[in-house]
Amino acid sequence: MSCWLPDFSHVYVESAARDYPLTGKLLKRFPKSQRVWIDDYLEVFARSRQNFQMQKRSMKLILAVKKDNFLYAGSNNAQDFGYPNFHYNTLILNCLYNCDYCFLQGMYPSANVVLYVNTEDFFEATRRAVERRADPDTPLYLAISYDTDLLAFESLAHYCRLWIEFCRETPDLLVEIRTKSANYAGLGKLPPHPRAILAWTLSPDEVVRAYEKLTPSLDKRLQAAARAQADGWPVCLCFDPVLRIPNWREAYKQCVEKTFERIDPGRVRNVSVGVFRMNREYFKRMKKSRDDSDILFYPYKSDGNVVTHSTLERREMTGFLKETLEQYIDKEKIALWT
Amino acid sequence: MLKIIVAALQIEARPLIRALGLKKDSTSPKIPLYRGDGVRLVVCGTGKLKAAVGTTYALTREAEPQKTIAVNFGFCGSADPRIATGSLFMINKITDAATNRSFFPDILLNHGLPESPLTTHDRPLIRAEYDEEASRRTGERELVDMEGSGFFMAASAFLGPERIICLKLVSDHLEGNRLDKDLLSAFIESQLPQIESCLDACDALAGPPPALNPEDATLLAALRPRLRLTTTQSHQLRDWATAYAIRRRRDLTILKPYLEQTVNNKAERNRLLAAIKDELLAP
Repeated sequence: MSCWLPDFSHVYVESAARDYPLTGKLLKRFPKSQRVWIDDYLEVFARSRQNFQMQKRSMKLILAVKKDNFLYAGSNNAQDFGYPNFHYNTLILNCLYNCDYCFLQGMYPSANVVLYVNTEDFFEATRRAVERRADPDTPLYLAISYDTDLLAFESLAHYCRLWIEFCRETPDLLVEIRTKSANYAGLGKLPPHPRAILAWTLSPDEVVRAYEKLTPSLDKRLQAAARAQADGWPVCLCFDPVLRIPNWREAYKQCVEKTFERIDPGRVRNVSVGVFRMNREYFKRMKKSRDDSDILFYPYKSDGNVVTHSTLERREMTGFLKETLEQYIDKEKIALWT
Repeated sequence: MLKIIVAALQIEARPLIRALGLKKDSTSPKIPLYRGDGVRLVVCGTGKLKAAVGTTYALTREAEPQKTIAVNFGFCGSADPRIATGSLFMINKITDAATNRSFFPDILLNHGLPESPLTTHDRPLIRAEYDEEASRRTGERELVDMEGSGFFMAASAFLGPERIICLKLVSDHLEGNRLDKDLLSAFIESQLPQIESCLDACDALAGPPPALNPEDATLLAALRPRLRLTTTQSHQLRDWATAYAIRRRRDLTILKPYLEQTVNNKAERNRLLAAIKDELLAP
């Protein structure tokens, strides 16, 4: 028996979240978990001196009500795919996976999972944002799985399904669900929708094994993406972050080859490519808190507030990926973070 | 991993002192402190202020307080007659009754004990007062004591919440009667295996050893003046060395020859540093 308590051994419930239907459903889902009532989720989530990696061994669930900031403008480190009305939201804070390079380790003080239960408030804020979007000629692009992996949580809270249905009834809204999960079945028999995009992050097996702990293998991700594509969903592929592992050229070449053995390139909506990059403060915090992953100790360069590869390495890596991808897919469909 | 136990009273401490083979520290006459193999125990006195003082005192006497676990062990009351006296609880929430502020230890390890919230009061509570207090809160039955919040606030100035543990043993149902000392000692004696098991389990919180072992760290420290490295260059060298140690799972023996090198100018230093970088980061 592990000495660590299982994930979600404790469910912390904000008093304001108590009466939401999702709270009741989740508490029923974890009948053996300890329930701890809290006034504000930050009492638990924002405690000082928390050990992110230690908490990853026994993550707790925090059920909370989000009070404001239901949408954020896209960050410079994210790709906007040419959509001027690019936004993201945070339905869940943190992730079931534990990728060595993940910015969440530097961004959040805790590895515990915060799940906001007031979905209707998010919907209402999104409706307003769609109405008031800066460029009325293009839809509002909303990434709903940026600070988490929503599809991996789908069996817990059906957020993907809820947001796809919401997207279906909200004109001028485009929803992107980015994931490493193989839980495509979690969407059930939901019919596809052209404005609900499923985006799979793909990495070579070497990277998955060494740096993307707890995530499904490349094969499983491709299997899920291929099924989604076959069912008619718009599918995006993300080679992001590209890591400069010792044999990176060969590893990524094989990864791209393997991808298009499974995925029909003609039906891919778009492909994004980006090398490792991170907010400098987050990166500093991550390095301070752990020294068990060589990927954090690579000689990156600081470019303003971003830690990333040197311009030369960046060009070399994105250039190689672009060239490899162009053998399969139109270059107009490839978006690069350079 | 060093465990520091904070108990309010001698009657709470005595069975633990005996079971863990602790010896009184004669250099600590004002606040009784007991030492044993990997364990310290401080008897702080009653109340949250004394608990905070005792906890701070014990932690600051250690050279590396961040490498310790702090455990508050003591009696508590319960207004719930269904909870048998002598029951031992792992506390998952501590509320200070005076400020209504709550604190949350991170419970990451299997402990096999029932869990409960705890409220810390400034004076002993009797049942009638408790009911009044409880109606103002969630309506839940929690345990009550006089030290928990002071202990937690002091310990959290040094330690992360996963290293702060609060174990409470129910001594009474808030009847306000004088308690039988022999019975209280017997309660603790019967829970000693659980308490010791909790303390042993805490060793898992030590975490993995650092990527660079102490010899590697000494070698890097010696290279800095030898190669006349700037502060930035020293940080860079440490990063490359860490990446090397993680990736190759080896120590830094390959850097030893550089200790024999002499550097006369910046150009020589930079040339040597570039050579070290190539060696450490080679695919």
